[in-house]
Amino acid sequence: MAEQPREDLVNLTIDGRPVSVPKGSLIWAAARKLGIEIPIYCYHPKMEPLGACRMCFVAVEKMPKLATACTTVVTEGMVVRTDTPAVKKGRQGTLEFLLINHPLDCPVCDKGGECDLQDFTLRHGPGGSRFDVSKRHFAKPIPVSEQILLDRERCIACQRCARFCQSVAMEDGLAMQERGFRTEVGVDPAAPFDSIFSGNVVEMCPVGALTAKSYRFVSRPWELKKTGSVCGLCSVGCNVRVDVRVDKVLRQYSRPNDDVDDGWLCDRGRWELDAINSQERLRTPLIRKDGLLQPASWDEAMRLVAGRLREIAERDGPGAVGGIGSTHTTNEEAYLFQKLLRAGLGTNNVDHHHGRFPAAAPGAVLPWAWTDSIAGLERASDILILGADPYHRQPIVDLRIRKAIRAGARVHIVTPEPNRLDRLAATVLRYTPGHTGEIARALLNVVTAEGLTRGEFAAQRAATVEARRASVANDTPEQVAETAGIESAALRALARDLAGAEAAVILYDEMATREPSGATLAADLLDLALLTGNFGRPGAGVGPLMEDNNSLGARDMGLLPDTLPGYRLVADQDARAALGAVWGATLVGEPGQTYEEMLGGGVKALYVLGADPARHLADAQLTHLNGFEFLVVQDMFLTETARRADVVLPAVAYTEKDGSFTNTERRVQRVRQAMQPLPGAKADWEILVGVARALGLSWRYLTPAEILSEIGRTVPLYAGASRRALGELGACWPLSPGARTPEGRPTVSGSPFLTWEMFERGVAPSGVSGATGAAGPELAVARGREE
Amino acid sequence: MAMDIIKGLNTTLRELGKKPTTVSYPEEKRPLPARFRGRHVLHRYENGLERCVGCFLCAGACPADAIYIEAAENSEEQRVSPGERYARVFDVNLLRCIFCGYCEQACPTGAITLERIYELSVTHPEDLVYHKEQLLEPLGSATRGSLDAWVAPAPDQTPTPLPGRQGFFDGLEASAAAVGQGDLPAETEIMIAGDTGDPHDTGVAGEEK
Ligand code: SF4
Ligand code: SF4
Ligand code: SF4
Ligand code: SF4
Ligand code: FES
Repeated sequence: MAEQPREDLVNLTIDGRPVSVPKGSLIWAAARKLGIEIPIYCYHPKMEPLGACRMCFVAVEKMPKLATACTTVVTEGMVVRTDTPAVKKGRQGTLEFLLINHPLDCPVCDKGGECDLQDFTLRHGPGGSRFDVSKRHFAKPIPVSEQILLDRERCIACQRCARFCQSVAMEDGLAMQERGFRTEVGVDPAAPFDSIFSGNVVEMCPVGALTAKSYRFVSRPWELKKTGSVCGLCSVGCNVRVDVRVDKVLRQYSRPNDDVDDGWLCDRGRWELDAINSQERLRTPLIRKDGLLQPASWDEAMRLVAGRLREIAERDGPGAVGGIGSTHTTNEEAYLFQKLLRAGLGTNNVDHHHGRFPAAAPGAVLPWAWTDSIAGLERASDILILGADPYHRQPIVDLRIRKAIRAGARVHIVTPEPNRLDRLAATVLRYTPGHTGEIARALLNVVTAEGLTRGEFAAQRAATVEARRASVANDTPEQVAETAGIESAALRALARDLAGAEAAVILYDEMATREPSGATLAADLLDLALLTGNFGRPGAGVGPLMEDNNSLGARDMGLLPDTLPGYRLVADQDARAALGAVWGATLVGEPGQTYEEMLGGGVKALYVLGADPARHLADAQLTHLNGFEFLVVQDMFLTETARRADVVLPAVAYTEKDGSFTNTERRVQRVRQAMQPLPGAKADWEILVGVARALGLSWRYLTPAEILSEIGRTVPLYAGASRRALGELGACWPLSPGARTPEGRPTVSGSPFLTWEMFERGVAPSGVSGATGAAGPELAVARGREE
Repeated sequence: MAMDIIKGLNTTLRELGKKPTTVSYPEEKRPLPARFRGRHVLHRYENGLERCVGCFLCAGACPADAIYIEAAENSEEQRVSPGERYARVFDVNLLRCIFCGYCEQACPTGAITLERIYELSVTHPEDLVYHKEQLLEPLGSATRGSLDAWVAPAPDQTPTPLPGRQGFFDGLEASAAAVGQGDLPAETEIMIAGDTGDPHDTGVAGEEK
């Protein structure tokens, strides 16, 4: 964060200690900065103050009565005390009232041990109660949603949950009902609480009034091993605390990272962890003998894999073996996998299931990624969601869009299916599935044909703008309306909106590029952003919402037949030589086979790591999988593909290993091992090292951190990345090494948004930029960000 | 020198006539103090329900990490303890246990006590992990075990936090009642004087409904 100018700081003292905080801060935040606890119930740092619970009393000099720290804004020279007898008495009084009707059934309450009512009563409360009549009782617990139970006796009516539903999630859900002592939380039967963000109310409820069904009576906070990591369930990469008891993941709690998740999680990430705890997981390597998959030792399995791969590569040439990588494994594992194939087996036959992005020009760097960031959404004036469904697929991005809406952004939803954001959107347009690409071209058509191009970028390139206009001349909204079934006038209006927007973000789904019409979708939308000047600053940008937790990382790490790690082309002699020198191998310059080509029978031996191509094949094509001479599958489960394999190697989940993921906003974040690996299974990187050694390679990696450091040295986009440098919060690539901290920890600095200079200098994505070719892997990106 | 021998023999002769300190175990057993801390027992209420509510507090207090619990929810069909929660699995690893009694102190319902049971030799170490079935007192028995030796009796005429039990004070009974009414009859009615139970009746005369 940039240094605050002096006049924006307010100086005050709390309990005699001076502190300076930004203008407009609350006393609570100032005290927190000093490490002084002011108990709060109704206040939540991510929501507007309410001042309802009266728990946060402090004494402020010259104020006749106690003030609530959660609503009182600091002023210059303010003198605050949190330790006077009056403050203590005030807090005790509040707690005594709260406890009058509180059932105190802590021993059977799931919040016990992490309950603010317990903790604050212990630290600030009265020792006893003067209340000796019967407490009220309600039937309990009552379900308020599929996943959440409400215990009305325990509710202290802080309204956090209701305010979350209304003002953060902006969805139907919990609301306060009745008045006075009868105030309670409830759900309108006509508007059920089925939001994907519902779990946040369980975490933020200061007491055990709202608890999770999946965590009901399962554990206690002191029984849990808590590890800070990253959620592996979608491409948002929310920062989480993985809570494990013995050998089970019980839940993920938020580990706030304001840039990514803003302190929230979706219900999937919070509770859908059954796969990790599943009884069906593979616990031993399997080798096909007499037509059946039979348990085998690791040694035997790895030697067999290495032996057969080598044998086939030597007999039919390296082009006869190939590998399909995963969008779920860590960057380290993706890197090792392509290294194994490229350096160990001498083939570029490596790919994974991914969206369709145009290939780069020779020597160019083409990072097809969201050019802005999740936090940048808050600064957008317009957000276009084209063919994507962030609510279900990248929920916390959807939640950030809602925050942007509150900040004044207009959202335009253009999707085939109804979208959860429709209700809040400025524009809602439906079209026939499969026509996303045409809609992008129609938008481009309007912008170029009506002369709506804006910004320096378009101004300097009249010729290329004209070329672009010609290329989409036939894709008028009226034309597209016929094929895609979309309203042409509205589409035209939308294009004008985007062109006139102060700052627009254009988001599409990675997989929309796989539609028949989507071949140039990514490039067309990039051009749309460039030509409308919506590029290169926070709140403006364009990009795909990726499919899986490490979809982007898999691309970055070179799980592609034509690019090495960091998007350097395999055809690039210098890049090959540089990498080959580090890897101690001569790399092939011919691009390898693609995902489809390999699965279509282009190779004789196939190594599938953490993917299940059978899911993407039509039934008729499934027989192809039986046609491989040798098929290795490395996975947690006996998938459809694994059933057809000759060797199956059991892998572990992301909670059982160290590494890093790269999320959809290019943020490289550390994943940490939260539990012991399942007995019998191994982490993918460990297996790869084993296979490489069996192949006779001298790989000496002992930990994923060593692999990450190698990536930090060899992949320019990840320059300076290392386990320690990534720290707790990660950074968006392109990374560059930063200064060491005073404690001597290395750091990296990231790039929250990409500027168009990098595209101009590095790439000619689709003709619009008029670039004359390669400027090498140097990226001109804006560093830092204005605060 | 000679004096020393006589002195010594004198002691021997004096002690010869006395009763021996040792007892001839196992025929004979020593009486144990009331607060002797031996193997754990899990107790029941008079109505046969288990006192333990599976709260994990004993496991949390245990310095030796000797207790392993898995809790579950009572249902109408299968009620194991009063209230919502019970211990489905309750293991005490007596090889780890240091018999400190903290678990007994921590228990909010008086469910677990350390009793005068010390004959714990087994041939296989795993047999010293006692399971719930072994720890639980048999159905039909409802004792408080060594709690009576540890917990001071309630003073007479004490105001009580417990509805309907005036004059009765016992921290255990109070918390047992809170977590599931203990062995008291369940009171789930809304207990506000003059309350009709109708949520729309605000009880304030003349107020708009
Ligand atoms: S249910 Fe929890 S969060 Fe909601 S008002 Fe009650 S105490 Fe507050
Ligand atoms: S939004 Fe994605 S990363 Fe975040 S908690 Fe949900 S599944 Fe996990
Ligand atoms: S007596 Fe002490 S060591 Fe033994 S189980 Fe109880 S708390 Fe643990
Ligand atoms: S402390 Fe008592 S009620 Fe809680 S789990 Fe242990 S024995 Fe059961
Ligand atoms: S936290 Fe300040 S009034 Fe509730």
